Amino acid sequence: MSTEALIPDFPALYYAEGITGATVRGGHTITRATAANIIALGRPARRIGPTQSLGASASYHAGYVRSHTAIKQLALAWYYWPDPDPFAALPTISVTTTIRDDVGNTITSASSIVPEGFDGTALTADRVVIYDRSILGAIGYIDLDAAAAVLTGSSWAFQFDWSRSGGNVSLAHIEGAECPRSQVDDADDYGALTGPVNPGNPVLAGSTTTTGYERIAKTVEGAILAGRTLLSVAWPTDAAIAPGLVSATFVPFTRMLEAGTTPWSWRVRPRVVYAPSSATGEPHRVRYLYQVSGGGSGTIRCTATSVGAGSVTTADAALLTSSTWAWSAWVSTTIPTDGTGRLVSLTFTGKTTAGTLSVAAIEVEEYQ
Amino acid sequence: MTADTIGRVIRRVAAGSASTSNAFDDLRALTSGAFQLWLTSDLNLLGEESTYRTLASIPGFIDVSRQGPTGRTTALQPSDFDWLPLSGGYSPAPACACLGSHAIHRVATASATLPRAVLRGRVEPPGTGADKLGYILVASPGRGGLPFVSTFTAGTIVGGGSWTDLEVSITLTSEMTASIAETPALGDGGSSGPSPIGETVVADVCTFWCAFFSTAGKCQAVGLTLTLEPVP
Repeated sequence: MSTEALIPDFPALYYAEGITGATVRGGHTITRATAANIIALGRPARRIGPTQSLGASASYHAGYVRSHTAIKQLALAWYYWPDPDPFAALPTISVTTTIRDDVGNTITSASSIVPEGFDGTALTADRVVIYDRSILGAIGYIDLDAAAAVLTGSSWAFQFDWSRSGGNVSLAHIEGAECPRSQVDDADDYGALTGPVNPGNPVLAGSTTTTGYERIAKTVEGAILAGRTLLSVAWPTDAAIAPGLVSATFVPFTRMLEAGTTPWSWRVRPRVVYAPSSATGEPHRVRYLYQVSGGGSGTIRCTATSVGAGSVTTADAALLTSSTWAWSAWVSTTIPTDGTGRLVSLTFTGKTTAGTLSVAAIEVEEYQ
Repeated sequence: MTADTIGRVIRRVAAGSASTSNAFDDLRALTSGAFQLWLTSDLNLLGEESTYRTLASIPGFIDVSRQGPTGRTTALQPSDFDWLPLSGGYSPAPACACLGSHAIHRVATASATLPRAVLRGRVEPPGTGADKLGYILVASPGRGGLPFVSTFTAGTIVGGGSWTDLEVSITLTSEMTASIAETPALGDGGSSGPSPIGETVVADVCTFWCAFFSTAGKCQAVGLTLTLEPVP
Protein backbone atom coordinates (compact mmCIF):
# COMPACT_ATOMS: atom_id res chain seq x y z
CA MET A 1 0.00 0.00 0.00
CA SER A 2 1.28 3.44 -0.94
CA THR A 3 -0.28 6.76 -0.19
CA GLU A 4 0.33 10.35 -1.09
CA ALA A 5 -1.40 13.62 -0.35
CA LEU A 6 -4.21 14.53 -2.71
CA ILE A 7 -3.21 17.57 -4.76
CA PRO A 8 -6.27 19.83 -4.47
CA ASP A 9 -5.69 22.13 -7.44
CA PHE A 10 -7.34 21.07 -10.67
CA PRO A 11 -4.71 21.47 -13.40
CA ALA A 12 -5.36 23.09 -16.75
CA LEU A 13 -5.86 20.28 -19.27
CA TYR A 14 -5.41 20.91 -22.99
CA TYR A 15 -5.84 18.68 -26.00
CA ALA A 16 -2.60 19.97 -27.50
CA GLU A 17 -0.58 18.38 -24.74
CA GLY A 18 -0.88 15.17 -26.74
CA ILE A 19 1.75 15.88 -29.34
CA THR A 20 2.43 13.67 -32.35
CA GLY A 21 5.81 12.13 -31.95
CA ALA A 22 5.68 12.65 -28.21
CA THR A 23 2.16 11.55 -27.61
CA VAL A 24 2.31 11.09 -23.89
CA ARG A 25 4.70 12.65 -21.48
CA GLY A 26 5.18 12.16 -17.80
CA GLY A 27 3.98 15.58 -16.78
CA HIS A 28 0.99 15.14 -19.02
CA THR A 29 0.09 11.91 -17.23
CA ILE A 30 0.47 13.52 -13.83
CA THR A 31 -2.04 16.23 -14.64
CA ARG A 32 -4.60 13.63 -15.75
CA ALA A 33 -4.09 11.64 -12.57
CA THR A 34 -4.37 14.77 -10.44
CA ALA A 35 -7.60 15.84 -12.13
CA ALA A 36 -9.14 12.38 -11.83
CA ASN A 37 -8.24 12.24 -8.13
CA ILE A 38 -9.89 15.58 -7.41
CA ILE A 39 -13.14 14.56 -9.08
CA ALA A 40 -13.29 11.01 -7.72
CA LEU A 41 -11.99 11.65 -4.21
CA GLY A 42 -11.83 15.36 -3.44
CA ARG A 43 -15.35 16.51 -4.19
CA PRO A 44 -17.94 13.96 -3.06
CA ALA A 45 -21.51 15.24 -3.23
CA ARG A 46 -23.70 12.78 -1.33
CA ARG A 47 -25.37 14.31 1.70
CA ILE A 48 -27.98 13.93 4.43
CA GLY A 49 -30.43 16.77 4.97
CA PRO A 50 -30.05 19.32 6.40
CA THR A 51 -33.32 18.84 8.20
CA GLN A 52 -35.51 21.62 9.51
CA SER A 53 -36.13 22.54 13.12
CA LEU A 54 -37.96 20.33 15.61
CA GLY A 55 -39.53 21.29 18.89
CA ALA A 56 -41.02 18.41 20.81
CA SER A 57 -39.35 15.01 20.73
CA ALA A 58 -39.72 13.44 17.28
CA SER A 59 -37.79 11.53 14.63
CA TYR A 60 -36.28 12.35 11.27
CA HIS A 61 -35.26 9.73 8.71
CA ALA A 62 -32.84 10.33 5.85
CA GLY A 63 -31.51 8.01 3.19
CA TYR A 64 -27.89 7.73 2.19
CA VAL A 65 -25.93 5.82 -0.45
CA ARG A 66 -22.15 5.97 -0.40
CA SER A 67 -20.62 7.45 -3.56
CA HIS A 68 -18.12 4.59 -3.81
CA THR A 69 -15.77 2.62 -1.63
CA ALA A 70 -12.90 5.12 -1.82
CA ILE A 71 -14.97 7.72 0.05
CA LYS A 72 -14.13 6.86 3.64
CA GLN A 73 -15.78 9.28 6.06
CA LEU A 74 -19.22 10.77 6.59
CA ALA A 75 -19.47 13.87 8.76
CA LEU A 76 -22.60 14.43 10.85
CA ALA A 77 -23.58 17.42 12.97
CA TRP A 78 -26.60 18.65 14.87
CA TYR A 79 -27.37 22.04 16.32
CA TYR A 80 -29.95 23.25 18.81
CA TRP A 81 -31.61 26.45 19.90
CA PRO A 82 -31.48 27.12 23.67
CA ASP A 83 -34.73 27.64 25.51
CA PRO A 84 -35.59 31.34 25.04
CA ASP A 85 -36.81 31.44 28.64
CA PRO A 86 -33.69 32.22 30.71
CA PHE A 87 -35.51 31.19 33.88
CA ALA A 88 -36.52 27.74 32.64
CA ALA A 89 -34.93 24.72 34.24
CA LEU A 90 -31.96 23.52 32.21
CA PRO A 91 -33.32 20.77 29.97
CA THR A 92 -31.49 17.70 28.74
CA ILE A 93 -31.40 16.92 25.04
CA SER A 94 -30.19 14.03 22.92
CA VAL A 95 -30.02 12.66 19.41
CA THR A 96 -30.15 8.87 19.08
CA THR A 97 -29.02 7.46 15.75
CA THR A 98 -29.88 4.15 14.17
CA ILE A 99 -28.53 3.20 10.74
CA ARG A 100 -30.16 0.48 8.64
CA ASP A 101 -29.52 -0.98 5.23
CA ASP A 102 -31.94 -2.35 2.66
CA VAL A 103 -31.29 -5.99 3.49
CA GLY A 104 -32.15 -5.92 7.19
CA ASN A 105 -28.85 -5.04 8.90
CA THR A 106 -28.77 -2.45 11.66
CA ILE A 107 -26.19 -0.34 13.48
CA THR A 108 -27.65 0.81 16.77
CA SER A 109 -26.72 3.91 18.70
CA ALA A 110 -24.69 1.74 21.10
CA SER A 111 -22.27 0.80 18.33
CA SER A 112 -18.81 2.34 18.37
CA ILE A 113 -19.41 3.22 14.70
CA VAL A 114 -21.96 5.86 15.72
CA PRO A 115 -20.29 9.13 16.71
CA GLU A 116 -20.35 10.36 20.25
CA GLY A 117 -23.14 12.88 20.58
CA PHE A 118 -25.33 10.86 18.22
CA ASP A 119 -25.56 7.88 20.58
CA GLY A 120 -28.46 9.06 22.70
CA THR A 121 -26.33 10.39 25.55
CA ALA A 122 -28.26 13.17 27.28
CA LEU A 123 -26.57 16.56 27.20
CA THR A 124 -27.54 19.51 29.33
CA ALA A 125 -28.59 22.31 27.01
CA ASP A 126 -26.96 25.67 27.49
CA ARG A 127 -29.00 28.50 28.91
CA VAL A 128 -29.85 31.19 26.42
CA VAL A 129 -27.47 34.13 26.56
CA ILE A 130 -28.07 35.47 23.07
CA TYR A 131 -31.46 34.83 21.59
CA ASP A 132 -30.62 34.45 17.93
CA ARG A 133 -27.82 31.91 18.23
CA SER A 134 -28.02 28.18 17.59
CA ILE A 135 -25.43 26.00 19.28
CA LEU A 136 -23.52 22.97 18.05
CA GLY A 137 -24.89 19.90 19.84
CA ALA A 138 -22.41 17.44 18.40
CA ILE A 139 -20.23 16.79 15.40
CA GLY A 140 -18.93 13.36 14.55
CA TYR A 141 -17.53 11.21 11.82
CA ILE A 142 -18.53 7.75 10.65
CA ASP A 143 -15.93 5.34 9.32
CA LEU A 144 -17.73 4.19 6.18
CA ASP A 145 -15.62 1.04 5.79
CA ALA A 146 -16.52 0.00 9.35
CA ALA A 147 -20.17 0.77 8.72
CA ALA A 148 -20.14 -1.12 5.42
CA ALA A 149 -18.78 -4.19 7.20
CA VAL A 150 -22.11 -4.32 9.07
CA LEU A 151 -24.44 -2.74 6.53
CA THR A 152 -23.81 -5.03 3.57
CA GLY A 153 -26.71 -3.61 1.58
CA SER A 154 -25.86 -0.62 -0.60
CA SER A 155 -28.75 1.67 0.41
CA TRP A 156 -28.65 2.97 3.95
CA ALA A 157 -31.10 4.97 6.02
CA PHE A 158 -30.41 7.07 9.10
CA GLN A 159 -33.00 7.48 11.84
CA PHE A 160 -32.38 10.42 14.17
CA ASP A 161 -34.52 10.46 17.32
CA TRP A 162 -34.50 13.93 18.87
CA SER A 163 -35.49 14.12 22.52
CA ARG A 164 -35.81 16.96 25.02
CA SER A 165 -36.76 16.78 28.66
CA GLY A 166 -39.04 19.81 28.44
CA GLY A 167 -39.22 23.53 27.88
CA ASN A 168 -38.75 25.17 24.52
CA VAL A 169 -35.25 24.04 23.64
CA SER A 170 -35.41 22.89 20.04
CA LEU A 171 -33.41 21.00 17.46
CA ALA A 172 -32.12 23.51 14.92
CA HIS A 173 -31.04 21.07 12.23
CA ILE A 174 -29.16 17.86 11.47
CA GLU A 175 -26.73 17.72 8.56
CA GLY A 176 -24.46 15.14 7.03
CA ALA A 177 -22.05 15.04 4.10
CA GLU A 178 -19.33 12.85 2.72
CA CYS A 179 -15.85 14.16 3.50
CA PRO A 180 -13.40 15.02 0.75
CA ARG A 181 -10.33 12.79 0.81
CA SER A 182 -6.96 14.31 1.57
CA GLN A 183 -5.07 11.13 0.68
CA VAL A 184 -4.67 8.99 -2.42
CA ASP A 185 -4.16 5.34 -1.59
CA ASP A 186 -3.43 2.66 -4.15
CA ALA A 187 -5.11 0.12 -1.87
CA ASP A 188 -8.43 1.85 -2.57
CA ASP A 189 -10.61 1.08 -5.55
CA TYR A 190 -10.06 4.54 -7.00
CA GLY A 191 -7.23 7.08 -6.90
CA ALA A 192 -4.10 7.33 -9.04
CA LEU A 193 -0.74 7.93 -7.39
CA THR A 194 1.09 10.67 -9.24
CA GLY A 195 4.56 9.81 -7.96
CA PRO A 196 5.06 6.71 -10.13
CA VAL A 197 4.06 8.65 -13.26
CA ASN A 198 6.67 11.36 -12.85
CA PRO A 199 8.53 12.47 -15.96
CA GLY A 200 11.52 10.27 -15.27
CA ASN A 201 9.54 7.07 -15.38
CA PRO A 202 8.15 5.21 -18.37
CA VAL A 203 4.53 5.78 -19.25
CA LEU A 204 2.66 2.55 -18.83
CA ALA A 205 -0.79 1.13 -19.27
CA GLY A 206 -0.31 -0.43 -15.85
CA SER A 207 -3.39 -1.98 -14.30
CA THR A 208 -6.55 -0.89 -12.54
CA THR A 209 -5.02 -1.77 -9.18
CA THR A 210 -1.51 -0.39 -9.59
CA THR A 211 -0.44 2.62 -11.62
CA GLY A 212 -0.54 3.90 -15.17
CA TYR A 213 -3.36 4.76 -17.49
CA GLU A 214 -5.57 1.83 -16.56
CA ARG A 215 -5.59 3.12 -13.00
CA ILE A 216 -6.39 6.65 -14.17
CA ALA A 217 -9.25 5.29 -16.28
CA LYS A 218 -10.46 3.36 -13.25
CA THR A 219 -10.34 6.56 -11.19
CA VAL A 220 -12.43 8.33 -13.83
CA GLU A 221 -15.01 5.60 -13.27
CA GLY A 222 -14.99 6.61 -9.60
CA ALA A 223 -15.50 10.23 -10.67
CA ILE A 224 -18.59 9.19 -12.61
CA LEU A 225 -19.91 7.30 -9.57
CA ALA A 226 -19.51 10.41 -7.39
CA GLY A 227 -23.08 11.44 -8.17
CA ARG A 228 -25.28 14.14 -6.71
CA THR A 229 -27.97 13.95 -4.06
CA LEU A 230 -30.60 16.13 -5.69
CA LEU A 231 -33.15 15.94 -2.89
CA SER A 232 -32.82 14.81 0.72
CA VAL A 233 -36.04 16.09 2.27
CA ALA A 234 -37.43 14.98 5.61
CA TRP A 235 -40.47 15.67 7.74
CA PRO A 236 -40.99 14.34 11.28
CA THR A 237 -42.46 10.82 11.21
CA ASP A 238 -45.79 12.08 12.44
CA ALA A 239 -48.82 11.68 10.18
CA ALA A 240 -50.19 14.94 11.58
CA ILE A 241 -47.15 16.82 10.26
CA ALA A 242 -45.93 14.82 7.27
CA PRO A 243 -47.66 15.31 3.90
CA GLY A 244 -50.56 12.93 3.23
CA LEU A 245 -53.45 12.18 0.89
CA VAL A 246 -56.60 10.04 0.69
CA SER A 247 -57.36 10.05 -3.03
CA ALA A 248 -57.78 7.05 -5.35
CA THR A 249 -56.44 9.11 -8.26
CA PHE A 250 -53.19 11.06 -8.47
CA VAL A 251 -53.36 14.29 -6.45
CA PRO A 252 -50.84 16.45 -4.59
CA PHE A 253 -50.15 15.69 -0.94
CA THR A 254 -51.64 17.99 1.65
CA ARG A 255 -48.87 20.09 3.18
CA MET A 256 -47.13 19.75 -0.21
CA LEU A 257 -49.81 21.66 -2.10
CA GLU A 258 -49.69 25.23 -3.41
CA ALA A 259 -53.34 25.64 -4.30
CA GLY A 260 -55.98 23.70 -6.24
CA THR A 261 -54.16 20.78 -7.85
CA THR A 262 -50.70 22.37 -8.04
CA PRO A 263 -48.08 20.51 -6.01
CA TRP A 264 -44.99 22.10 -4.53
CA SER A 265 -41.99 21.95 -6.78
CA TRP A 266 -38.32 21.71 -5.97
CA ARG A 267 -35.84 23.21 -8.44
CA VAL A 268 -32.65 21.22 -8.88
CA ARG A 269 -29.81 21.09 -11.39
CA PRO A 270 -28.66 17.61 -12.46
CA ARG A 271 -25.07 16.85 -13.39
CA VAL A 272 -24.30 16.12 -17.02
CA VAL A 273 -22.23 13.02 -17.64
CA TYR A 274 -23.45 11.38 -20.83
CA ALA A 275 -26.51 13.36 -21.93
CA PRO A 276 -26.14 17.13 -22.35
CA SER A 277 -29.24 19.14 -23.33
CA SER A 278 -31.30 15.98 -23.48
CA ALA A 279 -35.06 15.60 -23.00
CA THR A 280 -34.39 12.16 -21.59
CA GLY A 281 -31.44 13.24 -19.54
CA GLU A 282 -29.32 11.49 -16.96
CA PRO A 283 -30.21 8.37 -14.93
CA HIS A 284 -31.45 8.98 -11.41
CA ARG A 285 -33.55 7.13 -8.87
CA VAL A 286 -36.01 8.05 -6.13
CA ARG A 287 -37.31 6.46 -2.93
CA TYR A 288 -39.64 7.51 -0.13
CA LEU A 289 -40.21 6.95 3.56
CA TYR A 290 -43.95 6.32 3.65
CA GLN A 291 -46.82 4.65 5.44
CA VAL A 292 -50.36 3.72 4.41
CA SER A 293 -53.17 3.45 6.92
CA GLY A 294 -56.43 1.57 6.42
CA GLY A 295 -55.01 -1.36 4.48
CA GLY A 296 -54.48 0.68 1.34
CA SER A 297 -51.97 0.21 -1.43
CA GLY A 298 -50.33 3.48 -2.39
CA THR A 299 -48.41 4.89 -5.34
CA ILE A 300 -46.16 7.95 -5.33
CA ARG A 301 -45.28 9.64 -8.60
CA CYS A 302 -42.20 11.77 -9.16
CA THR A 303 -42.48 14.12 -12.11
CA ALA A 304 -39.40 15.88 -13.45
CA THR A 305 -40.04 18.82 -15.80
CA SER A 306 -37.21 20.79 -17.35
CA VAL A 307 -37.65 24.52 -16.84
CA GLY A 308 -38.29 26.31 -20.12
CA ALA A 309 -38.00 23.30 -22.41
CA GLY A 310 -40.82 21.47 -20.65
CA SER A 311 -39.49 17.95 -21.13
CA VAL A 312 -41.22 15.61 -18.69
CA THR A 313 -40.29 12.27 -17.16
CA THR A 314 -42.23 10.39 -14.51
CA ALA A 315 -41.54 7.50 -12.16
CA ASP A 316 -44.09 5.66 -10.03
CA ALA A 317 -43.31 3.89 -6.77
CA ALA A 318 -46.25 1.48 -6.65
CA LEU A 319 -47.58 -1.20 -4.30
CA LEU A 320 -46.72 0.76 -1.16
CA THR A 321 -48.50 -1.20 1.55
CA SER A 322 -46.58 -0.76 4.81
CA SER A 323 -48.77 0.41 7.67
CA THR A 324 -45.70 1.64 9.55
CA TRP A 325 -43.02 4.02 8.33
CA ALA A 326 -40.90 2.18 5.77
CA TRP A 327 -38.64 3.01 2.85
CA SER A 328 -39.94 2.15 -0.58
CA ALA A 329 -37.77 0.35 -3.09
CA TRP A 330 -35.80 2.57 -5.43
CA VAL A 331 -37.56 3.58 -8.63
CA SER A 332 -35.32 4.36 -11.57
CA THR A 333 -35.99 7.42 -13.66
CA THR A 334 -34.20 9.90 -15.84
CA ILE A 335 -34.07 13.63 -15.30
CA PRO A 336 -33.98 15.98 -18.31
CA THR A 337 -30.92 18.15 -18.87
CA ASP A 338 -32.41 20.46 -21.49
CA GLY A 339 -33.84 23.06 -19.11
CA THR A 340 -32.95 26.73 -18.97
CA GLY A 341 -29.83 26.85 -16.83
CA ARG A 342 -30.27 23.06 -16.85
CA LEU A 343 -32.89 23.51 -14.13
CA VAL A 344 -35.52 20.87 -13.44
CA SER A 345 -38.69 21.12 -11.37
CA LEU A 346 -39.47 18.03 -9.26
CA THR A 347 -43.03 17.48 -8.05
CA PHE A 348 -44.68 14.63 -6.16
CA THR A 349 -48.23 13.32 -6.28
CA GLY A 350 -49.83 10.11 -5.07
CA LYS A 351 -52.87 7.92 -4.66
CA THR A 352 -54.04 5.09 -2.44
CA THR A 353 -56.71 2.41 -2.72
CA ALA A 354 -57.75 3.01 0.89
CA GLY A 355 -56.76 4.92 4.00
CA THR A 356 -54.15 7.70 4.09
CA LEU A 357 -50.84 7.63 2.26
CA SER A 358 -48.20 9.69 4.07
CA VAL A 359 -44.63 10.51 3.13
CA ALA A 360 -41.96 11.60 5.63
CA ALA A 361 -38.81 11.58 3.50
CA ILE A 362 -37.86 11.87 -0.16
CA GLU A 363 -34.47 10.95 -1.56
CA VAL A 364 -33.56 11.64 -5.19
CA GLU A 365 -30.06 10.80 -6.33
CA GLU A 366 -28.02 10.48 -9.48
CA TYR A 367 -27.56 6.82 -10.39
CA GLN A 368 -24.94 6.32 -13.09
CA MET B 1 -16.57 28.69 -19.13
CA THR B 2 -16.36 25.09 -20.27
CA ALA B 3 -12.92 24.66 -21.85
CA ASP B 4 -11.58 21.85 -23.96
CA THR B 5 -14.48 19.46 -23.56
CA ILE B 6 -17.06 18.16 -25.95
CA GLY B 7 -19.54 18.38 -23.11
CA ARG B 8 -20.17 14.72 -22.43
CA VAL B 9 -18.24 11.70 -21.21
CA ILE B 10 -17.37 9.13 -23.84
CA ARG B 11 -18.79 5.74 -22.94
CA ARG B 12 -16.13 3.10 -22.96
CA VAL B 13 -15.39 -0.35 -21.68
CA ALA B 14 -14.40 -0.70 -18.06
CA ALA B 15 -10.79 0.04 -17.18
CA GLY B 16 -8.72 -3.11 -17.31
CA SER B 17 -11.05 -4.82 -19.75
CA ALA B 18 -9.52 -7.32 -22.14
CA SER B 19 -11.73 -5.94 -24.89
CA THR B 20 -10.06 -4.53 -27.96
CA SER B 21 -12.06 -1.38 -27.18
CA ASN B 22 -9.86 -0.75 -24.15
CA ALA B 23 -7.76 2.08 -25.50
CA PHE B 24 -5.34 2.04 -22.60
CA ASP B 25 -4.47 -1.64 -22.69
CA ASP B 26 -0.79 -2.51 -23.09
CA LEU B 27 0.71 -2.27 -26.58
CA ARG B 28 -2.06 -0.07 -28.01
CA ALA B 29 0.02 3.02 -28.51
CA LEU B 30 -2.10 4.50 -31.26
CA THR B 31 -5.44 4.11 -29.49
CA SER B 32 -4.04 5.30 -26.21
CA GLY B 33 -2.62 8.33 -27.96
CA ALA B 34 -5.99 9.17 -29.45
CA PHE B 35 -7.69 8.55 -26.17
CA GLN B 36 -5.64 11.27 -24.53
CA LEU B 37 -7.98 13.67 -26.28
CA TRP B 38 -11.09 11.98 -24.93
CA LEU B 39 -9.57 11.76 -21.48
CA THR B 40 -8.83 15.48 -21.52
CA SER B 41 -12.40 16.20 -22.56
CA ASP B 42 -13.89 13.88 -19.94
CA LEU B 43 -11.80 15.27 -17.11
CA ASN B 44 -12.52 18.88 -18.05
CA LEU B 45 -16.25 18.14 -18.12
CA LEU B 46 -16.34 16.14 -14.89
CA GLY B 47 -14.03 18.66 -13.25
CA GLU B 48 -16.30 21.55 -14.04
CA GLU B 49 -19.38 19.61 -12.96
CA SER B 50 -17.67 18.67 -9.70
CA THR B 51 -18.02 22.24 -8.45
CA TYR B 52 -21.80 22.22 -8.64
CA ARG B 53 -24.38 20.35 -6.58
CA THR B 54 -27.52 20.69 -4.50
CA LEU B 55 -26.54 21.65 -0.97
CA ALA B 56 -29.90 21.59 0.77
CA SER B 57 -33.55 20.85 0.16
CA ILE B 58 -36.10 21.59 2.87
CA PRO B 59 -39.90 21.76 2.97
CA GLY B 60 -39.87 25.42 4.00
CA PHE B 61 -42.59 27.35 5.81
CA ILE B 62 -46.35 27.10 5.33
CA ASP B 63 -47.01 29.95 7.75
CA VAL B 64 -44.87 33.06 7.40
CA SER B 65 -46.78 35.60 9.48
CA ARG B 66 -44.10 37.21 11.61
CA GLN B 67 -43.10 40.74 10.77
CA GLY B 68 -39.48 41.76 10.48
CA PRO B 69 -38.00 43.34 13.62
CA THR B 70 -37.07 46.57 11.84
CA GLY B 71 -39.98 46.94 9.47
CA ARG B 72 -37.55 47.79 6.69
CA THR B 73 -38.34 46.55 3.18
CA THR B 74 -35.42 47.88 1.15
CA ALA B 75 -31.71 47.02 1.18
CA LEU B 76 -32.50 44.08 3.41
CA GLN B 77 -29.85 42.88 5.84
CA PRO B 78 -29.82 40.00 8.34
CA SER B 79 -30.88 42.43 11.08
CA ASP B 80 -34.17 42.92 9.26
CA PHE B 81 -35.14 39.31 10.04
CA ASP B 82 -35.74 37.38 13.23
CA TRP B 83 -33.20 34.57 13.66
CA LEU B 84 -35.06 32.84 16.45
CA PRO B 85 -36.05 29.23 17.07
CA LEU B 86 -39.19 28.08 15.31
CA SER B 87 -40.22 26.09 18.35
CA GLY B 88 -39.24 28.62 20.94
CA GLY B 89 -42.76 29.52 21.88
CA TYR B 90 -42.84 32.71 19.82
CA SER B 91 -46.09 33.73 18.16
CA PRO B 92 -46.17 34.14 15.25
CA ALA B 93 -43.35 31.68 14.79
CA PRO B 94 -40.19 32.97 13.10
CA ALA B 95 -39.37 31.59 9.64
CA CYS B 96 -35.64 31.00 9.39
CA ALA B 97 -33.51 27.96 8.70
CA CYS B 98 -29.89 26.99 8.58
CA LEU B 99 -29.22 25.38 5.23
CA GLY B 100 -26.11 23.66 6.50
CA SER B 101 -22.34 24.05 6.45
CA HIS B 102 -20.82 22.90 3.18
CA ALA B 103 -17.46 22.41 1.52
CA ILE B 104 -17.11 24.87 -1.34
CA HIS B 105 -14.87 24.00 -4.25
CA ARG B 106 -13.39 26.42 -6.72
CA VAL B 107 -14.50 26.11 -10.33
CA ALA B 108 -12.17 23.47 -11.70
CA THR B 109 -11.62 25.03 -15.10
CA ALA B 110 -11.32 28.59 -13.78
CA SER B 111 -9.59 28.18 -10.48
CA ALA B 112 -9.81 31.81 -9.41
CA THR B 113 -13.60 31.56 -9.54
CA LEU B 114 -16.06 30.26 -6.99
CA PRO B 115 -19.59 29.19 -7.90
CA ARG B 116 -22.71 31.07 -6.97
CA ALA B 117 -25.13 29.83 -4.33
CA VAL B 118 -28.74 30.00 -5.43
CA LEU B 119 -31.77 29.72 -3.16
CA ARG B 120 -34.93 28.74 -5.02
CA GLY B 121 -38.43 27.92 -3.95
CA ARG B 122 -42.05 28.82 -4.38
CA VAL B 123 -43.62 31.64 -2.41
CA GLU B 124 -47.12 32.95 -1.83
CA PRO B 125 -46.75 36.62 -0.84
CA PRO B 126 -49.44 38.80 0.74
CA GLY B 127 -52.28 39.70 -1.58
CA THR B 128 -53.27 43.00 -0.13
CA GLY B 129 -52.08 46.43 -1.15
CA ALA B 130 -48.45 47.21 -0.51
CA ASP B 131 -47.87 44.24 1.81
CA LYS B 132 -44.82 42.17 1.07
CA LEU B 133 -43.02 38.93 1.78
CA GLY B 134 -39.34 39.55 2.51
CA TYR B 135 -36.61 36.96 2.17
CA ILE B 136 -32.87 36.74 2.43
CA LEU B 137 -30.05 34.30 1.76
CA VAL B 138 -26.98 34.66 3.94
CA ALA B 139 -23.53 33.14 3.50
CA SER B 140 -21.48 33.02 6.68
CA PRO B 141 -17.86 31.83 6.65
CA GLY B 142 -16.92 28.58 8.36
CA ARG B 143 -18.76 25.72 10.01
CA GLY B 144 -21.76 26.85 12.02
CA GLY B 145 -21.23 30.45 10.95
CA LEU B 146 -24.06 32.62 12.22
CA PRO B 147 -26.26 34.77 10.00
CA PHE B 148 -26.51 38.06 11.78
CA VAL B 149 -22.80 38.81 11.66
CA SER B 150 -22.47 38.25 7.94
CA THR B 151 -22.49 40.93 5.29
CA PHE B 152 -22.63 38.38 2.48
CA THR B 153 -26.33 38.49 1.75
CA ALA B 154 -28.93 38.73 -0.96
CA GLY B 155 -32.50 39.62 -0.10
CA THR B 156 -35.57 41.20 -1.58
CA ILE B 157 -39.32 41.50 -1.21
CA VAL B 158 -42.23 40.31 -3.28
CA GLY B 159 -45.95 41.03 -3.22
CA GLY B 160 -49.02 40.46 -5.32
CA GLY B 161 -50.68 37.48 -3.68
CA SER B 162 -50.02 34.92 -6.41
CA TRP B 163 -47.71 31.95 -6.11
CA THR B 164 -44.42 32.82 -7.75
CA ASP B 165 -40.85 31.59 -8.05
CA LEU B 166 -38.31 32.61 -5.45
CA GLU B 167 -34.76 32.97 -6.68
CA VAL B 168 -31.96 34.79 -4.94
CA SER B 169 -28.25 34.19 -5.29
CA ILE B 170 -24.82 35.09 -3.97
CA THR B 171 -21.71 34.80 -6.11
CA LEU B 172 -19.27 33.31 -3.65
CA THR B 173 -15.80 34.67 -3.00
CA SER B 174 -12.98 33.25 -0.94
CA GLU B 175 -13.72 35.60 1.95
CA MET B 176 -17.12 33.92 2.33
CA THR B 177 -15.45 30.63 3.24
CA ALA B 178 -13.18 29.60 6.08
CA SER B 179 -10.68 26.79 5.84
CA ILE B 180 -10.85 23.79 8.11
CA ALA B 181 -8.14 21.18 8.51
CA GLU B 182 -9.04 18.70 11.19
CA THR B 183 -8.20 15.15 12.13
CA PRO B 184 -11.46 13.63 13.25
CA ALA B 185 -12.30 11.06 15.86
CA LEU B 186 -14.27 8.28 14.19
CA GLY B 187 -17.50 7.19 15.77
CA ASP B 188 -17.20 5.87 19.29
CA GLY B 189 -20.37 6.73 20.95
CA GLY B 190 -20.26 3.08 21.98
CA SER B 191 -17.05 2.59 23.92
CA SER B 192 -14.67 4.30 26.28
CA GLY B 193 -11.10 5.30 25.61
CA PRO B 194 -9.57 7.18 22.73
CA SER B 195 -11.49 7.04 19.46
CA PRO B 196 -9.91 5.78 16.24
CA ILE B 197 -8.30 8.62 14.32
CA GLY B 198 -9.64 9.37 10.86
CA GLU B 199 -8.13 10.90 7.78
CA THR B 200 -7.51 14.63 7.93
CA VAL B 201 -10.35 16.62 6.41
CA VAL B 202 -9.32 19.75 4.55
CA ALA B 203 -12.00 21.99 3.09
CA ASP B 204 -13.16 25.56 2.61
CA VAL B 205 -16.51 25.79 4.36
CA CYS B 206 -19.44 28.17 4.23
CA THR B 207 -22.69 28.08 6.20
CA PHE B 208 -25.92 29.23 4.58
CA TRP B 209 -29.09 30.59 6.16
CA CYS B 210 -32.42 31.81 4.88
CA ALA B 211 -35.19 33.76 6.56
CA PHE B 212 -38.54 35.27 5.72
CA PHE B 213 -40.94 37.91 7.05
CA SER B 214 -44.39 39.13 6.15
CA THR B 215 -45.39 42.74 6.50
CA ALA B 216 -48.99 41.62 6.97
CA GLY B 217 -50.96 38.38 6.76
CA LYS B 218 -49.97 34.79 6.24
CA CYS B 219 -47.50 33.91 3.48
CA GLN B 220 -45.82 30.68 2.42
CA ALA B 221 -42.28 29.88 1.27
CA VAL B 222 -41.93 26.22 0.34
CA GLY B 223 -39.94 23.71 -1.67
CA LEU B 224 -36.66 25.44 -0.85
CA THR B 225 -33.44 24.29 -2.49
CA LEU B 226 -29.93 25.68 -2.25
CA THR B 227 -27.60 24.85 -5.11
CA LEU B 228 -24.12 25.68 -6.30
CA GLU B 229 -24.24 26.71 -9.94
CA PRO B 230 -22.08 28.39 -12.56
CA VAL B 231 -21.88 32.16 -12.45
CA PRO B 232 -23.85 33.34 -15.49
